[in-house]
Amino acid sequence: MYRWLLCWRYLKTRYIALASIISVTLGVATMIVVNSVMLGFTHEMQNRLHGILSDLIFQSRSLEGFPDADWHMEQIRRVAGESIEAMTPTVVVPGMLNYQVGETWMTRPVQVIGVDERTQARVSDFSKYLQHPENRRQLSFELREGGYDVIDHQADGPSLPRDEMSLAGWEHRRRAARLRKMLEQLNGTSEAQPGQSLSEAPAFTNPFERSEINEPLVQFDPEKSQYTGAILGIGLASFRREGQDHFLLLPGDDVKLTLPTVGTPPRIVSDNFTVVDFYESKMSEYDSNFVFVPIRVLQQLRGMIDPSTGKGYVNAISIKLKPGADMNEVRDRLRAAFAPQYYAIETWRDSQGPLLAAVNMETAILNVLLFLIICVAGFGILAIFFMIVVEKTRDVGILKALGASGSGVMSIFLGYGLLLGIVGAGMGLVLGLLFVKHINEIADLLGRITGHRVFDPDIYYFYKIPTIIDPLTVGWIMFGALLIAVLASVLPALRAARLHPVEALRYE
Amino acid sequence: MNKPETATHQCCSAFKTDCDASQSAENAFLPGHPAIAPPHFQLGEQHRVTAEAISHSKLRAVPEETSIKSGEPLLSVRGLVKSYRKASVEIPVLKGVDLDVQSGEFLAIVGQSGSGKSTLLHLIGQLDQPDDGTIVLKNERIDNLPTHLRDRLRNRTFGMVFQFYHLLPELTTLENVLMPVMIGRSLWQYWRERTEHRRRAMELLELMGLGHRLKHRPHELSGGELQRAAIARALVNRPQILLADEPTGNLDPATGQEILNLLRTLRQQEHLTIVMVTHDHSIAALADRIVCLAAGRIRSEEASLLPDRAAAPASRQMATGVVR
Repeated sequence: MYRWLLCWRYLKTRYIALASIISVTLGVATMIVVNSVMLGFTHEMQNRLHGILSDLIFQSRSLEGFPDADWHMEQIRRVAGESIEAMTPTVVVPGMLNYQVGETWMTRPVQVIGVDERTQARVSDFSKYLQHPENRRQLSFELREGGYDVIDHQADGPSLPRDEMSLAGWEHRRRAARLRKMLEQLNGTSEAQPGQSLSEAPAFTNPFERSEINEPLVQFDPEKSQYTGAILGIGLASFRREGQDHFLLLPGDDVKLTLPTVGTPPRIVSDNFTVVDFYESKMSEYDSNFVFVPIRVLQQLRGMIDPSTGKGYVNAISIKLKPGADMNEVRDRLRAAFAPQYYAIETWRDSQGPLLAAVNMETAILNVLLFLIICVAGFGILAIFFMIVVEKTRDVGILKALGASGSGVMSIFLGYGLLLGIVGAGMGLVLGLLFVKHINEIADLLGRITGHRVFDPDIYYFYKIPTIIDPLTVGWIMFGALLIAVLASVLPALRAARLHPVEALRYE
Repeated sequence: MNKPETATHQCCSAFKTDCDASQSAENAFLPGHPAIAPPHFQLGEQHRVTAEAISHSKLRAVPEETSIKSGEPLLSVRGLVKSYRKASVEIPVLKGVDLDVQSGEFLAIVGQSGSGKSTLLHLIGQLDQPDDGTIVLKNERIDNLPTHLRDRLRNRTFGMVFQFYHLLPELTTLENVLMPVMIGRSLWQYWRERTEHRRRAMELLELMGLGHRLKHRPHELSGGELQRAAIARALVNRPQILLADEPTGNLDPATGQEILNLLRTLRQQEHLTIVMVTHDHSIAALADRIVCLAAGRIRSEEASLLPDRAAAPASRQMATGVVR
């Protein structure tokens, strides 16, 4: 009883001790903020990584791939059918994207991915990142009339509108075609305009043109028809300045894709595609790399269709597992069943392993460093506690003279340490949570004061700093801080417990 | 009975190391015959405490059930030796002290500074352990008990009053008085009995004339008030023996007298045995019996210097300091 009374009174009357726990407060607050932000980033990143990658990827080790996706899918189902929810064949091939802006040709190295528009949406969050609401519901490679998102549908805060997107669609395509026709008539030349079909320009001598499979129709009218649809990563078609996206081309414009064929040595093939939508995962690595086209067209273009059976080659099968299924276990079973020299089977975590590991490593190192700060605070508490014990020597003598035991006196100081820890860590908790809650306002304020953007959406493709507060992590941080406060008070408390009452009473 | 102030004490005066005193046998209060409050018993106008008030108060101590037979001492000290070490030099403080304290007695131990009287009190009060010798309380040795039992004795059996009051500065007067109660009981136990304890503490403080000072911190009280609060604290657990270490050492003579009278009254009221250490003869004179400590031994006591006793200085009574 007296212990708690005295702890409480000491807490209320010794402000110097409160000063000693400010470092605990700051340490706890910083740890909470850092962990929340890191977890937010990791989560956001994993979401986006996982958004394009399905749970499991069954890949061929060669670019040529393997024939007959259906047969393979059947085999996979036979091995691990009970855990599999959906599968879709894909063809992934490096390629080149060309499009014209003004009079300049842009060339971008890309990853061309052939997807099955019926099943792709079932294995990953792919369609969630598209810009047309209808495409998000049901993926289609047909150009939409209009109605593309002007406001970023993924932004859960204020974001700058993409006004240019309001024009996208058939409307844009018709306007561009009319403009081009007009210019042609005016100049009598065949100067290419943005959105103009490249293959229609007679003066244009494309060295790849000969290898085109998808020969233009005799009467191709860009006002009425489109080439094969392609979905571009948004980073390929736009750039961002001060949070505002500027588009180099819009859905409705035509682009040219150049690919290697199968066979050794590979030949180069090229064809026109019409941009039908943008893919925006906000992972710049993906958004500025991926071009999605219908798998059948890609197979035809690359000569991946076996003329005797009519079945196409694919080089990957994306597998989505049922909820609760163990990804690694299924992977191991598939690995055991398929010849490893031909097939690489990975979970999405495996394929992004180094990236995820790096983030985890960063978090771990930050935590160790910050915990060291709290440890330093522990030594501060130790020093101040020694002072308090010396100052309270006589009081300890009095308590002992009144019959308090050594352990009773010790528990006063241990309890005091615990109380200080609770106050310090509690203040840190409140401070940390408030900081996390208002982190974006704070970042803005800091940006305004220093003139530097603390969080630049140009870099991160997020509008806000993502944060997630994990109660378990917060619990561990609190526990660690309390433990350190108590540990730091053990030595002074022992000293107080061992004081001889007579000498303590004589102490002046 | 004689008025105590008529006694003349020259024992252990500042100019003598040896004690000699002329004291009539009638001046010694016999155990079991508590002294009547002296006529000069008075307190400040504001908080007058009279013996009458005390005797009429509801404060009734539970009579101690002493297992000792009448005539046997309540507390008996034999051959107590204690020395302190300072920079590898051993300084003997007590060199074989024998002392008997009867139940209900008010004993004063006088001696020069450094004569070891405080050390003796600390040893009796279980604040320290002797190098040699025994302390027997109610026929039971208490000098070699395990720590937790000694803690218990300090808490329940002995009440300590110090020269410098030693109240805890963070607590109010009432909380200070309640401190021994809290120390001796678990949180739950204290909580259950808290009204009772609070009433006891408040009654004690009322008795001490501090009823209006319950919520004050020690630094807001005067010296006399502090000492009275300290006495209340010493008594709150109803101890059998009150050990007072220079209780008036820091007070002006009038306040000191007032404290002493309070102690005398309380002894009667609470069935206390009081052992007081002092170097002030006028204060010691208010006790029932005075023993003198010099050079680490009980040198003499007033009663032993009666003519017939003085003739047999080697008698057991002389050596043990028992008044008969």
